[in-house]
Amino acid sequence: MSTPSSSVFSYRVLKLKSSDGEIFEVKQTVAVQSGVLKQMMEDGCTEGEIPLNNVDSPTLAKIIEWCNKHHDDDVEGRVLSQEKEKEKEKADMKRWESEFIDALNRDELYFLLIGSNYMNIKELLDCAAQKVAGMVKGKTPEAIREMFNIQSDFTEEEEKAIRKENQWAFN
Amino acid sequence: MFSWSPISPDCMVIVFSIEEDGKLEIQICPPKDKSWKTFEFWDKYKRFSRLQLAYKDVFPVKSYSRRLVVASNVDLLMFNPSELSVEKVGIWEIKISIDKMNNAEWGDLPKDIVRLIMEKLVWSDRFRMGLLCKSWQECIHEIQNTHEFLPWVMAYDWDRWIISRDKDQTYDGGDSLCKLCDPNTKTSYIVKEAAILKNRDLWGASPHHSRNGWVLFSTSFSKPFYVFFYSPFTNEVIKLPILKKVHFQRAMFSSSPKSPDCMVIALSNPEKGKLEIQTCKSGDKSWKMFEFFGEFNRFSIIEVAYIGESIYCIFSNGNMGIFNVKHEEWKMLSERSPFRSYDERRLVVASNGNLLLSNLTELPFWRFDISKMNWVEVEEESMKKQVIFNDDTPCSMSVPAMGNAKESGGKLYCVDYHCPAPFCCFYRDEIGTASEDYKWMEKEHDKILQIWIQPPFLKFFESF
Repeated sequence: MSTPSSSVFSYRVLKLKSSDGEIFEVKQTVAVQSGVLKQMMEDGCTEGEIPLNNVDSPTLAKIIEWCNKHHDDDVEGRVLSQEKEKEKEKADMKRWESEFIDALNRDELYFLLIGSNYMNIKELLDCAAQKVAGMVKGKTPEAIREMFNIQSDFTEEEEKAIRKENQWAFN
Repeated sequence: MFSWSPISPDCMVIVFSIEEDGKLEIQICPPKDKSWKTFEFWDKYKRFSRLQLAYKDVFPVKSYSRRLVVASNVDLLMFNPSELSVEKVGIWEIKISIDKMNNAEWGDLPKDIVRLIMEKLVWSDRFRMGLLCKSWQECIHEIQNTHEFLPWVMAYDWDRWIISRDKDQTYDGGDSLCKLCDPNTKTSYIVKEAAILKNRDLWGASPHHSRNGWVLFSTSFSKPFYVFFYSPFTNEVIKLPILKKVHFQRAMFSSSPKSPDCMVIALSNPEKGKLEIQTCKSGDKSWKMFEFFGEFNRFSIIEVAYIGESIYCIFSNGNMGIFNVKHEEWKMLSERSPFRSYDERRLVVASNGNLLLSNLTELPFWRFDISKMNWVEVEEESMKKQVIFNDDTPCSMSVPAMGNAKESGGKLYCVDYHCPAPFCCFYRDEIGTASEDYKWMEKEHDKILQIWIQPPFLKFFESF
């Protein structure tokens, strides 16, 4: 038996099953961006459907869209002729990323965080976390609470004590 | 079943088995362990049968985080690996957990994601975020500090106070200014209603020692003479009892005044062959006075440093003595300071358990070898591994040249009343321009008092 050449390898697909039962086919070269899927590929346990119990189909579709856009960067032997071209490509990618993230509503962003964390896709997780950080920046606790609809589990006294401990930050 | 990728350090392999007599056996093997741990649980409710297992760690459901849910045909049991206990929960809770999956519950966001978000924010935003719920609050304290080594600056201003005081006797300090300046994000924060400026009793106090986000001050303009702590981070003033002997030369403290073992030590210049040292522990109602007799002549205390549990004193004639705070003992040393003339500007630094001394006009720095009780020259290379910070307090601080202080290795940063921002010196008395890390402060204010201060929430400083 001969070992498959890299081109054959790149066309192999994984079948990912979202939490709501939808199947997504993803090229191995794309899926490798997920730390979890990469590990599974290395361990040779990607036969059949791979259940992703923590990612629903809209989120998985988003995640795959991101990975498809990014996988070109990782293709071996791809040489960009000019330094300028490289920079332009980088800037284009940055723009695409921010448009991609900005288009999400708050719920979508939440599930993207959960999903990219679950699948261990560092760049996407980082980009989504950066987006949330931007939303939080400079806001009062009350405004953040309203934005994320989080119920406080502090007693009044506890909250007062925390505010006092770092009074400078709440001015 | 296993909890997550086996390469992750958190991965736990868990094996369940049910014995015929109704015993539930749970075996756990964390990846680095060489052997399995077995836990046995006897069925208090029913026989464990037809087990359905679900590892809930990855679910965004707070109540189930890091626990295993074990569902038998009727009961839903939870096994908590960290507490090694099984408890019964109602079957209805499964429904809740499934329902929750469909809605974004930001409060249930896994902690490592919350931490990742916080790491992208400045400290004030982190604290504001942490006020939302307990789990987010905990995340603040779990942020690893690998970058922020440069100390902050507390900048405050008595001048406006004086001007306003003449005009209006009821002035409440509202116009004066107290700020915290963070070099890492080049942001300054105004401390509103700063207690140190609002309190008339404390007017014109001079700083003695800065440590763990607190500054020790004393007043000397109007009686009674107060010794007090101020933290611009909590905006708290902690007044100490009135000193037995009000005039002292140097004062220092051992740790945060909020900690029960905080010691404050005040040293007076020797008079008539008598050295007086006063100490006050957290919560003490009065100062303790120690008197030590010796050949002090008319020499005054020039430098002090608090290292470990001892205060190192250098007198103007170059003599040295040590006060052991724990054992309340005074000892003169045979070793003398390498500098005999004290006309020049000099610098003493307590640095990572070391006492460093320089006269600032020439190399080398000298380090006091505590085990051999003698002074040794410090090589230039080893000076480059740290950054020294000098201000109006007698004690300078030092940080390792790492993270955001890496580029400053071997430099000396000074703050001075006449300078709008901290400036950087090199040894051999080359006075440089304002350093990039603090230069932005020039726009912030002019003629203002400045003290280096270590934010209490930066973990690194506690161990240094």
